[in-house]
Amino acid sequence: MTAASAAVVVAAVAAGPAFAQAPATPVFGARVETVYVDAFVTRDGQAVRGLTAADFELKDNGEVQDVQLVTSDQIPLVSVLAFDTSGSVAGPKLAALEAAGGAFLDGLKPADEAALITFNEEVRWASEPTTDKGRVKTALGGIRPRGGTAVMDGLFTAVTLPVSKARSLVVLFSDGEDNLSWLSDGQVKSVVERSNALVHVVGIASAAAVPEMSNTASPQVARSQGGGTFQSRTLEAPHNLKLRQIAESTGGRFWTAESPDRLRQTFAAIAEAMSHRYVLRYDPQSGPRTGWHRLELRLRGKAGRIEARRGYWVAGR
Amino acid sequence: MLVPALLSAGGVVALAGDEPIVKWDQKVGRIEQPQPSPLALARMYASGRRAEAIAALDGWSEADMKAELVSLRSEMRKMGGHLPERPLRAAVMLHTDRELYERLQSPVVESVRECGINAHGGYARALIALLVVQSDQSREFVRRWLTAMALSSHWDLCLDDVRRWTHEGLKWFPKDAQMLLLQGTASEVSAALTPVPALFADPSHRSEGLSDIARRRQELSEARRDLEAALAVDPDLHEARLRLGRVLWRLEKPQDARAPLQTVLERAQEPWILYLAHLFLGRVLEDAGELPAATEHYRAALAIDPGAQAAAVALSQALLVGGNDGEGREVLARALKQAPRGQPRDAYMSYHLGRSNLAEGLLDALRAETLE
Repeated sequence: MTAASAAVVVAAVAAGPAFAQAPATPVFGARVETVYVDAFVTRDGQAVRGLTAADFELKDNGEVQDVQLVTSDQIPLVSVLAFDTSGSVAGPKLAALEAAGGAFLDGLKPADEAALITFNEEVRWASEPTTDKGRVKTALGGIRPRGGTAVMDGLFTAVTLPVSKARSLVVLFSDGEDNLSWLSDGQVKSVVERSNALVHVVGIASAAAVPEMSNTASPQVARSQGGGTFQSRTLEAPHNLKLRQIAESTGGRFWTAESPDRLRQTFAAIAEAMSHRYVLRYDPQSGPRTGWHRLELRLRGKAGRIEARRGYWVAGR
Repeated sequence: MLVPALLSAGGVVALAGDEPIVKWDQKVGRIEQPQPSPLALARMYASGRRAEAIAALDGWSEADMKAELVSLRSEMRKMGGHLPERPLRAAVMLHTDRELYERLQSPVVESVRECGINAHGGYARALIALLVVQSDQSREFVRRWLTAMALSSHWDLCLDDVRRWTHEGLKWFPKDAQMLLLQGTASEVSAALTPVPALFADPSHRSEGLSDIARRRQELSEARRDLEAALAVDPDLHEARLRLGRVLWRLEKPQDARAPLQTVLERAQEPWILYLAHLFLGRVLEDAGELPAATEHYRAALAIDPGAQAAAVALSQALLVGGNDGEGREVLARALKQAPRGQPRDAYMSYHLGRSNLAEGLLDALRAETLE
């Protein structure tokens, strides 16, 4: 199983360590000066370790930037588990999901915060962000599935609400179609792209999915990054495709568990992937320009697949 | 008096009047347990022994019911087009309850009940064709019964069944605004719940995707037609106008969608309709790039129902897009603090269910009318 994902953290530089100033707000002010981008590098499905800043070439709106590497240990995560608790999750799937959530929490560092948001037709804080992972596990045990599914509203909430100086990771699980969200995928994508959240989505394989597609980036992403051996695109359920596109826009990915039994392994892999990320820091050469900033990240003289955020947004004042 | 059939088709031998029906099992060559006659069962039902009467239909096959129907039609002809109305209504409700009972027994997959009208529902539907011509009172009974059946199917999101009931209803009551609204709502919801296919995902499945899109569009057009027809009959049917606005937006006619939604806001009184009209008009305006106006409508929706999560999400997102992220987060956080909401639900959450929560009350009223 490959393990790769990425996110960007855009920080307004003020007093104190720059990484601690990363705003959790989806729209960044025009005074943004320092940008944080974090990336996962894999080769043959395995995380590549030991890279230095000199191994990366990063372009912000086409301009090569002078990047530094920040130790990821210095940046605690705020991880939000956003779980579908609609009626279809009841039964063995729920037990598997609880175990998977627990495995993910076990993979976090003590300083990392975790939270649980549940959504069926209504979105709820089951556990607000805390470093006490036991509290989140207790909330996991209290899930009672019922009702319809408002995936997009749940994702919007998970990306928007956490208030923290640290960056946030959203791991969303859903097993079915969205039928009750107010927001469209386009609206949520727009908010997610402007946020500093990294989004991973976990789904359960449907009959239309093909095994070799599992736990991989989309063919488009894989081809663009020189990876993947996809022969053809399989039929993907529209709701999964939308979630995949949103996740990939943040540098995250859509993970397909072959069955509920594999959820635990999938969630553990996401936590593991987060522990092998590279965090790059730079001050944009041309200063803080408002609008969308397109990011391009590649390795210098080394093989490997990078997954990183494709851009960030700086709002005007 | 209802006269059960005296037919031998399919191995059924029935006796006239209140005598029990006797079945001859040709395979084993013996007489099965006698069954109560339809009249006896209808009387049992009307006397208040509903559960017993419903359970007594256990042995009834579709063939039995068809035979009964033939007999009833024949009897009706003999009596110059008349049949005793009260037992006939009781029979309708008896088979209705059996239909609902069997629907409860049908498999539930992922919280969705298997749809379809079974033999008892079909029989009840055939009986109402005999009942509707008896008197104005029976005609009204039939109208309410068809409405209740459509609502009941809608409650289970069996939208094709809804349209079967309304199609039947509109044959008898072509100018019934409520029936037209129910039919339009079923088409609207069916289209709304059809996922928009991702055509680019797989070219080899493009034709399937196109067919889904065409079906969705067809359903929306049918919804529009029915809702406009309902409004032509009853211009004060605000729910129909609200849904028409939403359907026009779904049909990608945002300019056309504005007028009905604005009219609802000017004329309607019911808070849940006003709430949804603000929400839907806000979306139309937001799509058109009129974010400040959209934001105001979302605020108005939230003011009508401060605990409504859909309005809070809509307002929060609009504020974030507008750069007011502090208030955007605040609005959302406040909404989450109020969850779980319980009853009454956010009207947006029950929009797809229409008025189907009224089904049970309507059916109860009809049952009560059959009691002797």
